[in-house]
Amino acid sequence: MVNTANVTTRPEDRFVAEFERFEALHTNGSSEHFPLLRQKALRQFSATGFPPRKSESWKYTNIGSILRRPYSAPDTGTVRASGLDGLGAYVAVFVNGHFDASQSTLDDLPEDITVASFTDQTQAGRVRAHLARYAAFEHEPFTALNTAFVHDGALVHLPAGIALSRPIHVIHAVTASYAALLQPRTLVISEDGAQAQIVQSTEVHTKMPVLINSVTEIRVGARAQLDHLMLQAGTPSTSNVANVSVYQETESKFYNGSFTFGGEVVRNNISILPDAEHCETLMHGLFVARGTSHVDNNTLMDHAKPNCFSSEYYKGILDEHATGVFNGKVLVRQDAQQTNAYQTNRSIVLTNTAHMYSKPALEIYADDVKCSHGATTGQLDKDGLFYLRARGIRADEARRLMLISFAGDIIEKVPAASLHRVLYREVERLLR
Amino acid sequence: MTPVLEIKGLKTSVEGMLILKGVDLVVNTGEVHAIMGPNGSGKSTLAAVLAGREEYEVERGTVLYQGANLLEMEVDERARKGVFLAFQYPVELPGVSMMNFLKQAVNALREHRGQDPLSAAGLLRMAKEKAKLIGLDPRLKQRSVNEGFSGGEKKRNEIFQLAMLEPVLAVLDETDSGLDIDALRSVADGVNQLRTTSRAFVIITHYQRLLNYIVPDFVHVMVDGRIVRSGGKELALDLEEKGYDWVRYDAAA
Repeated sequence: MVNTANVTTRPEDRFVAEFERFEALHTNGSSEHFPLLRQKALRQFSATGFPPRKSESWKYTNIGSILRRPYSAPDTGTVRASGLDGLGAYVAVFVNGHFDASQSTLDDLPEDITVASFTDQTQAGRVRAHLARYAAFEHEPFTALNTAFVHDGALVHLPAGIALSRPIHVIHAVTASYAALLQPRTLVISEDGAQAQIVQSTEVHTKMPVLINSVTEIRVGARAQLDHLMLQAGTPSTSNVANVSVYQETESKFYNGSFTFGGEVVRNNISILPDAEHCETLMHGLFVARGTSHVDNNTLMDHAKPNCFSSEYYKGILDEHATGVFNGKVLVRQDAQQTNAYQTNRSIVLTNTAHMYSKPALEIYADDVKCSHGATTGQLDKDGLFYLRARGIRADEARRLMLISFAGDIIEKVPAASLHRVLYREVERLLR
Repeated sequence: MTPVLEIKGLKTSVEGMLILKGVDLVVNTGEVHAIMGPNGSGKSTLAAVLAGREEYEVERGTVLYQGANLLEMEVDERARKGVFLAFQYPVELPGVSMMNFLKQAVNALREHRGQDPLSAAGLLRMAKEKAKLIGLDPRLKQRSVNEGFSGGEKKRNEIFQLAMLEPVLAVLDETDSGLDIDALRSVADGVNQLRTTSRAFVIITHYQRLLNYIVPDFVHVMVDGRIVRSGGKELALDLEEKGYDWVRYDAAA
């Protein structure tokens, strides 16, 4: 006989119970910076709950079975982060959500630049001033859940006018002997004219199920130029909900690249708001999905002010039984005259059992704008394959060559050249 | 001596329609054969069948390459064994760099011949030398395969690949189409440089003008899926003068 009490338990209640356990563990610690914010976020999460199955933006992504697992926020753990070879970055490592100074290489950062843990008391004021300002949680239950659990996280502060030549790399590694809930939080504040590249990656060092629910908030100051890259690689039982909220100030330039190389269910919610004139935004993404992997990119390009440019370009390769979703919205508000906004989604589906759902959308309320969107989903170009084979290249190698070039189109546009090799390596590994 | 290529009674169809209606052709090493014919006569179908295009169904007949059944070989296997098709419409491969493409193709062949793969430097040296021989703009080697190439550059790139891959049998499918007289001449010069006693060519063309520059040993005229007349190089001149109606009439008679 099944315990009926368990059957009727809402998954939300499990997360609330986990919050209470987690809270009891951490209330004595010095990490307790944000009690009011966290309580408010928890109440919001508890009241709203996870998105219903039938909601429009979750139509093709069933995360219910993932959420019904009993997760625990992990205790401190010990694991050596693998990092990304050849990136040459300043590295901040978090293990099970806690900053690990011994694995981080931040000592030679230029003096004015801050890459710190939220628990760093000297940064408390700055964190408090910006946290949850750009990633509103009122209508985003996953952001609310993350906010409720905030105790440590990565703060990046770039003072006015600096230009950093090496990227900053924030790694979140997780290790646990039980199903783990990891909720990375990252806050990036760049002041006027700052230039930097920020890479985020997650590493799963366990075969147990892992749910990563991350929130990244970025403020791009006036005339600042920021490149932000997100690398998701996980075991077949890793699920990932990544929320990225970006706020751009006047004449700023922002690049976002989302790269997904595995996972059970992956959902990226990327929302960019250029809230001033003459901003430029590039929003790129690439995923390779195999097995029964499901990857959903849900993006919002929110043009609120005139004279801005944005270009969104997402690609996906789906093999075996994988499914993919692209749900991209470009919103041009009434004030946003002279907006140039472009959106493209291209996918290659390699088998009859893989599926891609692509829904590009323009929603335009201004009357003097240039916008376009398009989506193509298809198989590998047969003429191309034949051409390669007619030169002696074996069928599987020809296929690989074409897929790598398809992906390379996104990889070559990554502003951090040191990442190209890293990304090609991942794609080649998956296409082997 | 075994011929390089021996086609006997070849009948092929596409989507149920018979295109080749019984083709016979023997090509020996060192020979250059031209196949001429009006549009829709089946010339390009013959090239496609030799290269291994799957949409063509072989209904009847045999094709032996160096004495072995060519029709049973995979597309890439044919290429590794020395069959080369210069495409009428070379395919653009965005993102596939010329050098990577050449590396894969050259080394697939070398592996088949039991040779060690060519080093990056070795490949570059070879590419440089062959590009010069063919008159291919060396900058094109930095680009994606055929992407954004002009019509002439694409055709020249086919001949450049021919030079790189050193085939036993080269089939040129309307390599002259869409070329102006200068481009035609330089592509022909390239081919002439690659004529050797150990290589055979089958040159498919609609017009005689290419044969002013690449002088064939034999000319065959194809009409309605059959070779209706064969002769020496002077046959091309007769055709130029009298038009295809002449052989058409002949074939019907």
